Amino acid sequence: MPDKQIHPLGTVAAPGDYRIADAAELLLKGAFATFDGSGAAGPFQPLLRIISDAGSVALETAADTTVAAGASADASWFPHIAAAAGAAPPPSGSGVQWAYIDSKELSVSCPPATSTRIPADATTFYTNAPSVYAAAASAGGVEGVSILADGHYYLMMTGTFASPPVATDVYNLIIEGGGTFADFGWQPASILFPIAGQETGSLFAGGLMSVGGFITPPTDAIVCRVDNTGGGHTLHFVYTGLFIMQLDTVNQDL
Amino acid sequence: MPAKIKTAMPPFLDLGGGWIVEWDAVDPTTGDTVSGVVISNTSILVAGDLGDESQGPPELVPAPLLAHEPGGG
Repeated sequence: MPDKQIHPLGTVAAPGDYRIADAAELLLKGAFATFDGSGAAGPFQPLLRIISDAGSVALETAADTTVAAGASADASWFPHIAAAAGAAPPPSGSGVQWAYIDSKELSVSCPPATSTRIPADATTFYTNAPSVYAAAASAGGVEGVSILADGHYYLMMTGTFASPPVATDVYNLIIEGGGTFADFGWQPASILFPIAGQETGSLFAGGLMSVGGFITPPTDAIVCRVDNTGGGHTLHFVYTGLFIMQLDTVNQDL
Repeated sequence: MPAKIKTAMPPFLDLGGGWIVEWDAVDPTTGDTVSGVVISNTSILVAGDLGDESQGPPELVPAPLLAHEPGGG
């Protein structure tokens, strides 16, 4: 049975009611009305209200758009449409703002009892949100990613050893950054992933970081760091890359 | 030129006799009806048994001409 259109009312002052005939049973697929607010006492939202045969409101669906007093609107209601966007539109092409920086993927020597910072490669920096991330060098001159906006972020760094450590080696794989060089390692931004023993597969360090409180944007560049803390051997680490994803835009330390 | 506003509504709204579809203009803060707003051009798109609504005016169909009438036969 084809759909039918009914024009139930003439020109009336709001609210306008259409009572369905006693013998009717309708599947409501859409509604429309022109709202003339030239004489309105104030701004308004067009609203469609369904009232049951018992006289109680079954549902109300109001437009997200407010019509100014004196203005008019053609209002349509129909299923399967998204509500109008809220305050902040999503980034173009994605609901997540992310960045990734690749490294040079070279084997870097990490001598015993030292902290070695391994640079990424700024020519292989990717992001869908250049207002949130930028490739940058840290205060110590090491290439990484700077975060430019408040929020909470998930970070994940990956790498592997070019030659397997021995069983007695102890080392930390660290995502370092956020504040000044002097602060590294001891602030909320630093993520410590201690490893001991012979790890020969891919390694990763991951965690959360907050920006906007203790650490203010733009942050110092976030870089890869390997601490060779024991065993007395030089380690050879291949830094693969760093992925960062913004979880929200809230300014609150963890 | 009036603004064009679209708003979501639930699908499959099966409404029986005695139910009411109401258009209103409400205050964004209080939800109360805003006076002075005039509604026109109302329409609803429906499927189903329209009951009395389906009974439109009877169609006027010309009767066939009789043989003795001019042009008839």
